[in-house]
Amino acid sequence: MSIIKENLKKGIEDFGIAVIFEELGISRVVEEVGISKIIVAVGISRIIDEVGILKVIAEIGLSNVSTAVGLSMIIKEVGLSKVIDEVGLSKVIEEVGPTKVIAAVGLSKIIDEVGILKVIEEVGPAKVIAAVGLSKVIDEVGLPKVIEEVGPAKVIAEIGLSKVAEVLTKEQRKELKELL
Amino acid sequence: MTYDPDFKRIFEEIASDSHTTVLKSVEVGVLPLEIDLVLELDKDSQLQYLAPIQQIRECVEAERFIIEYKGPTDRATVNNLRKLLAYRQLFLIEHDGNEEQKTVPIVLSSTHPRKLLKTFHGKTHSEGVYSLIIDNQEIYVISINSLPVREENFGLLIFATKKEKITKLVEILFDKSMIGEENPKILHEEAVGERFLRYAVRWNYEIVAVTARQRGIKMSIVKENLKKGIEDIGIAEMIDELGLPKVIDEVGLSKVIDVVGPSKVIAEIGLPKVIEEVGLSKVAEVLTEEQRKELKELL
Repeated sequence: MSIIKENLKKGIEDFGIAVIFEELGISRVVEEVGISKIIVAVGISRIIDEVGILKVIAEIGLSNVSTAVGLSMIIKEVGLSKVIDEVGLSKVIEEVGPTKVIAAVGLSKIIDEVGILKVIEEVGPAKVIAAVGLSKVIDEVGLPKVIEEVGPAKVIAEIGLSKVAEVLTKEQRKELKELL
Repeated sequence: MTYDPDFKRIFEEIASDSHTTVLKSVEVGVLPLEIDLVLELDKDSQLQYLAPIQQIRECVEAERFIIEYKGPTDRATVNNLRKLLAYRQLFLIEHDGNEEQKTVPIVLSSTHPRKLLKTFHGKTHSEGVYSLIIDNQEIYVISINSLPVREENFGLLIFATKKEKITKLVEILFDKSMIGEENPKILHEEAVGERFLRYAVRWNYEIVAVTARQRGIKMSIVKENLKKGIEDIGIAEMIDELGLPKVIDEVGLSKVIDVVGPSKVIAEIGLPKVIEEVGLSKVAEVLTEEQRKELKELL
């Protein structure tokens, strides 16, 4: 360490760090060190504790909250059902798009919360499939339900005949054979 | 502990006031060859407070000095002297027109190079100022710790390392710096005292503080000099040295935030991070009914 810095350090510690820097001026300290360095040094949580949450909201403005944090965080905190209860699923999907909603919470969670029918009813099957892909929808909700909702042609194209055959009942196989 | 850069820093301040050009860390030859200091003198150069150098100047009609500084942990050796002679030659090669006789090498040593002076039969010019012949060339040696404590030597004595010497110097500096309190007419004395006290705080804080306490001198004088020293180095650099978290802990975070303003703090952190840190449930908890309604609409 430099001899000058070492001596000044001794002096600062001798008089007290607070005394010296307060006399030099806190604003100068902040200006010279830079606020970002201070935040990194003390940690965000301490800064917020210090500022106070109400002040944070007052400062940032409430309207910024939703745009700033993203839907996934709001849903994570408040719970999807609560959000849907409050504003309606269609409104949520309409606002942010099904892809984002599904990406935020996962399709299965949406379905758990409101049921696949409700999801499809609200946004239409095409949107759900477009958002996550048909195979994912099948994985999530099970093939019969999807076939029922989406229509067999699309399902067969998507999953392949062998998979269709696999899920058919004995009677259905028989019936299909006769038809063919 | 490193002494060289700080020595150059303070010495430059002292010598620059004497109409003398101070060149620091002058590169010569192929790197990493570097002369500590080159003093370029002109007819107006006074070398105030650097009497031993002025004395050598008058002795040999020097126009410049090639200076090698040896701090308390770095003793001058024969090889150092030979290197200094080589530096001078390299400097002369690169600066056409400089006469060898007028370009004088000086070793400025914190400690007394007793062995060296004995080996090379050093000639004493005055207390602390010597010359010796090595490889048929003359080199001057100034032993800082051996210089008498007088005002004309202050510019070198400030780098003394002998406790008794520096204590005596500091006592005189305190006396001078406070002389104006009793006799406002003696402004020069006061200014000299204050100036060198500022250097002393930077070079030897402990002795300055102890001397002040022992003599019942107001510590505010020491503190003011300390603050000037910090400003010279730079507040940010000094805080880095102490550790920023430690400084904030001591000063108090609230004071820092009050000064900056919460909005600037939040802007710096970034809104998403603020909310992430706070947690949405906490946000929801503190909202008024109207705010909740507004948020719902926004969602």
